[in-house]
Amino acid sequence: MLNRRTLLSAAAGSAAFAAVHRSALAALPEPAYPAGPATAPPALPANGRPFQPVVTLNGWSAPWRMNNGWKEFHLVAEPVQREMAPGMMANLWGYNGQSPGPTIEVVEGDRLRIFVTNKLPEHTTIHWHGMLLPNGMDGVGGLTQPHIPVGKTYVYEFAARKSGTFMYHPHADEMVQMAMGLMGSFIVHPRDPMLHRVDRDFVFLLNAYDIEPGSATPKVMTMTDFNLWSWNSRVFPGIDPLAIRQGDRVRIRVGNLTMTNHPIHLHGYDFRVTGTDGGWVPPAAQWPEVSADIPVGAMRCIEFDATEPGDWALHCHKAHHTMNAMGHAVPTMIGVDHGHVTKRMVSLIPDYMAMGQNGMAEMGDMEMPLPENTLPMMTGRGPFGPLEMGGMFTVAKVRRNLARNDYRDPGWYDHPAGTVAYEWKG
Amino acid sequence: MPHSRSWAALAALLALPLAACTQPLTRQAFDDVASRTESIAGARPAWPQDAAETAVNAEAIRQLLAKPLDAEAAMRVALLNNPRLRADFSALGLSAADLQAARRPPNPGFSFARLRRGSDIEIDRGIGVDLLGLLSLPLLSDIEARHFETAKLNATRHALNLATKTRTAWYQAVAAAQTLALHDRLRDAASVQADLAREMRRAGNIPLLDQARAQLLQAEIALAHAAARQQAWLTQQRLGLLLGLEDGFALPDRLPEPPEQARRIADIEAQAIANRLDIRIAEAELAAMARADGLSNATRFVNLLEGGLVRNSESGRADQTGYELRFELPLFDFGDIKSSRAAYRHAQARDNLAALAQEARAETRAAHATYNTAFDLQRQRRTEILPLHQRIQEEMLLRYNGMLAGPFDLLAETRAGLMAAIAAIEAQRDFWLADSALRFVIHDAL
Repeated sequence: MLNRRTLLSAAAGSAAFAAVHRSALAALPEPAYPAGPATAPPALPANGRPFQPVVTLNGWSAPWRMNNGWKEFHLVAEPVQREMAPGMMANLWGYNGQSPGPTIEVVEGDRLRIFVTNKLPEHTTIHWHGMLLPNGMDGVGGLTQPHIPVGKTYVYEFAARKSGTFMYHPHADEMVQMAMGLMGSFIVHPRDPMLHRVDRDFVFLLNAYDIEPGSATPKVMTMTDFNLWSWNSRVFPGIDPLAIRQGDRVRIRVGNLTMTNHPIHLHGYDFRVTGTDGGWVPPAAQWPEVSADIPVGAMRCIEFDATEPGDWALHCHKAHHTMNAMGHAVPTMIGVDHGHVTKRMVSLIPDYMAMGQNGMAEMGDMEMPLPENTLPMMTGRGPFGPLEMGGMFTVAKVRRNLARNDYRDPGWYDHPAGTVAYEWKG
Repeated sequence: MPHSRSWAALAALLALPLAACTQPLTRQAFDDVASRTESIAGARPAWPQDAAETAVNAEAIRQLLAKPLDAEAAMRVALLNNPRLRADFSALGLSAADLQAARRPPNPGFSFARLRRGSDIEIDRGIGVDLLGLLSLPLLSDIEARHFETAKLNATRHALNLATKTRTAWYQAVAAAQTLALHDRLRDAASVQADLAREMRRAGNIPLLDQARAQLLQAEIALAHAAARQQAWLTQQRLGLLLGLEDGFALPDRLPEPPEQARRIADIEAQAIANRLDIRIAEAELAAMARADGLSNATRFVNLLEGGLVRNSESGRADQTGYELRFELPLFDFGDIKSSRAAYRHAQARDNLAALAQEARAETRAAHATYNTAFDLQRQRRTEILPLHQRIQEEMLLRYNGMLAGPFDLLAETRAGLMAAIAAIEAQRDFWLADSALRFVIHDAL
């Protein structure tokens, strides 16, 4: 476990992330790499304009160097191994060792120079989704720039003209490169750190993969029938909980780079939609929701005051998006009395076990051998039993006694006596 | 009657070789056949001649049948018990008799005539011997000796042929029974699927279409099962016939494991040429034809030469005695037809032998190649295809565990695995059949 205090006091990421030396890249900022798939705590900027950093769920923010007033980042597009949850590794494409790539955090008015090195097996570009910039910096391969060939480094230079919530992703062989996990969040903080100020600011991208159980590489030709619905290329139980101090003002920024919309639903609160990738929503236009539908290729910011302590589920409301890989052609066995068939089945297939006769809840509680590198369709255990979840599911854990910058998992909620549903006994 | 005495002495003289009997010769011949069969096939045929021998033979058969017959034991039972083989051995006795007959001089002819002219009674008595037959006796008995050798070779061929047929039938029968057991499991898998589909249909979970498909599958697999059962019955019957048994024999429930390595046989064609009985017979035939050719040249102008003692009695007169010789004049048939026929037969035998040698080599090469291929195929099925099916079934079960596949997917893989197991047994059977053929082809035509 990383020491949180060391991290917080460190210059943006320089101590936290292993630097990779490449003599060929001597003139470039050294690309930084994350330590693992856990959520990196927010790091205050060591130089440049001050800002209140975001927390990238199961991710991290890219370090930069200042160079004559330019803020310089270095993204390396390359094949990566991503643990989507303990027990499952995916062969993805990412930036700087991870999919999604590091969150880029800058401040309104910053002049940015972003080096992009292509270590993929094919050409690529980066499109800065939602950013207002010169046309030639927009990153559409063939349209606004030549593709970045394999092995080459290109430079994007533009100013962060307005604050807000953005993304970056390739605009070259786009379907395949996004199906392989190339994407990242891009946050432009307001010049005034007190503007739109919140206490805890989370960000993640929605992505979807079709990885055949027993394999590790996404099927890039899948159009709609994905089997892993993920946040920042993680699925439950691999998604960290959102640790929140009671009373904090909380923002959750969500961007959607899947092929379908996702109604992101938070239990226990109503919230306001305060921003999109188009900008901040004026207070009078903010609208209340308990599920914010995130359209394809769009972002939403939701905000709420964490007044209610507890373990509040946060998930996509499409029920099959809170499942891991399952067989879409498996017949329904509910109500099928197959006791007498089972014995004969076992004589043919010794390890056979009848399943699904009463529904599938038993799957959440069962630990049966599965194909290699495959997560159970539904899994996880809570304080009261199996959670029976997968995919786009995690928990917002609102606690009274949480330190201001503590993002560690506080464990399960200790319910006050008499506040838990109970069995009626007459 | 001094004359009477001299007649009796002549008869006694002629009868002397007749004391030899065909039975020891036949026995000796059978022993040769049995030893030769044993040296090739590893088992000795029986040809019981009396009650005691029959009892001993029956006991040997009973002991072999006491436990499930392996291929060796089945072959032994067949050699001891097959009635057709005994019939073939009887031909040996017939041939022995021919040889005995050929070794003996021709029977003398005796003529007697009583003629009356008025009161004169004339009695002619004569005894005659086929002199030519007598002269050619060594040649003819030599030919018959060769025929007898051929008869022995033929008897050996029949025994070997039975041994090989029995082995073949044993592999067929055991494989068919083993296949039937797998068809039983296939039928179970289809019936489970049909029952499950019926329950799913009853619960409203699948349409009639899917249930009908499951039923159709069950019906088709039942047909395949019936064919397998028929095959098992038929092959059992065929084996029984060769064993000379209607029933009362048990077989192991699986074929023997094939060896790890294919047999390497050096100079297999040379072995075949040196050993094959059909070639031995053709050689003997050629030799016999060569002799016959020579004989017909030797006797070309004298087809029938008869000499005889004559004694004529006329009433009131002293007996006339003397001898007479008769022979044909080669005026019309001067032996050339006979001679050219023998020459053609000789040539035919020679060419037949050449053809046979060529065929034997080709047959042996083919048997060897078939054996090697059958070895590779069965090994491929056993060591590669079956484990892959096993692996696939395991993976499918893992998918089923994860609700990634349904019970029908599991059953489909189970069926595929069973089909592969059936194919593997058939490959194993084909290997053993090729193995049998390869053992046999060195000794006789397939």
